[in-house]
Amino acid sequence: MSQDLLYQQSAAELAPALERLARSYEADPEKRRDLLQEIHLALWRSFAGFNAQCSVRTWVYRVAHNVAASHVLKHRRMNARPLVSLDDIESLPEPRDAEAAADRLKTLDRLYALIRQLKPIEREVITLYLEGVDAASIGEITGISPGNAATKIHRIKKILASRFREGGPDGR
Amino acid sequence: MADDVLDLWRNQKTEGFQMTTVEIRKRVMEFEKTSRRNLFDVYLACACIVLVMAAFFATFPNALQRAGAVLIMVSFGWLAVQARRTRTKKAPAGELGNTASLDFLRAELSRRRDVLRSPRPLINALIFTPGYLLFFAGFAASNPKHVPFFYFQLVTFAVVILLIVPLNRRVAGRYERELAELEKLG
Repeated sequence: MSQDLLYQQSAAELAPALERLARSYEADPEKRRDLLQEIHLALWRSFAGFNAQCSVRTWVYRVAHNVAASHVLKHRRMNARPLVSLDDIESLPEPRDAEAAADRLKTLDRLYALIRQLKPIEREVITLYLEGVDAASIGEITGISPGNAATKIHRIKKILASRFREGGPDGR
Repeated sequence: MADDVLDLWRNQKTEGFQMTTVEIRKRVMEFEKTSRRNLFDVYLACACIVLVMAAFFATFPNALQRAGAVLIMVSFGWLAVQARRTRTKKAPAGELGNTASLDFLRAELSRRRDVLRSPRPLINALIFTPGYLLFFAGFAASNPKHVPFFYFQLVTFAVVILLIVPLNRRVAGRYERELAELEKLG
């Protein structure tokens, strides 16, 4: 299949997922648009070297996350708040705002804010989990061991359950 | 509740951002044009400095200033050659897709750490030092009332040179710690 055709098909299928990915890595709308463009360009370029080494979906997610991780490294300020792991997120205090918790849009904003605090690999695992990618594929895309992937998914489920309980963190 | 979050995530409104292959090819050409233009700008800047130094050489009779001007011209000529050599080489087409994220991140962090640990930034700064010192020493000798300015320049330059290595090492240390954390994930 040609480079153009591969790109068109995968972009059509995964465009919404790529937008959600870009929003997970970049809060600023202008920079997010640039990142998204960069991802699409890299994807098209990359398909010149695609020889069915893996599934197209795995390929697309790898390219997208690798470009996004480079973006984070490039724009990171040395004195910025350090990124945290899933273990650290669990122990961070949750903002107390029951009204905001009831609003679905605000819930989404809180979810993105939580994701953006995470280190690159953990950010990738949580976004892939939210996209419905199974643990084995997450391991293939990220390169982490199956055991580590399963542990992280378990932590993610726990965090989502505790932080995004219906009615807010207090269950109200 | 976790299922609600999954539904919320997957059903959120997106902008429908897509690019046609025509748009992509156009953007690729624009990037390549910008990259060539950036290199041209470096050449132009170096050429301007060389011309200015050549004018100083022709204008000022002071031997120290002339020697300094020649060395500065040679340094900027060398800089122009290096600019072409260090232009970021394009990675092979499939590299981003062939490389799992953990390996990609390791390679990227290692590259950044190695650049910071390399003596190259210090060597680059020191290459300019003799010409810079001679030129301003000659300037101070011809204009005694500007000697304090010369010493100020000297001290500023020395502070910058002395800070380069420890600052770079500090940032390299941060990358090293991140690499160590990644080792646990493989």
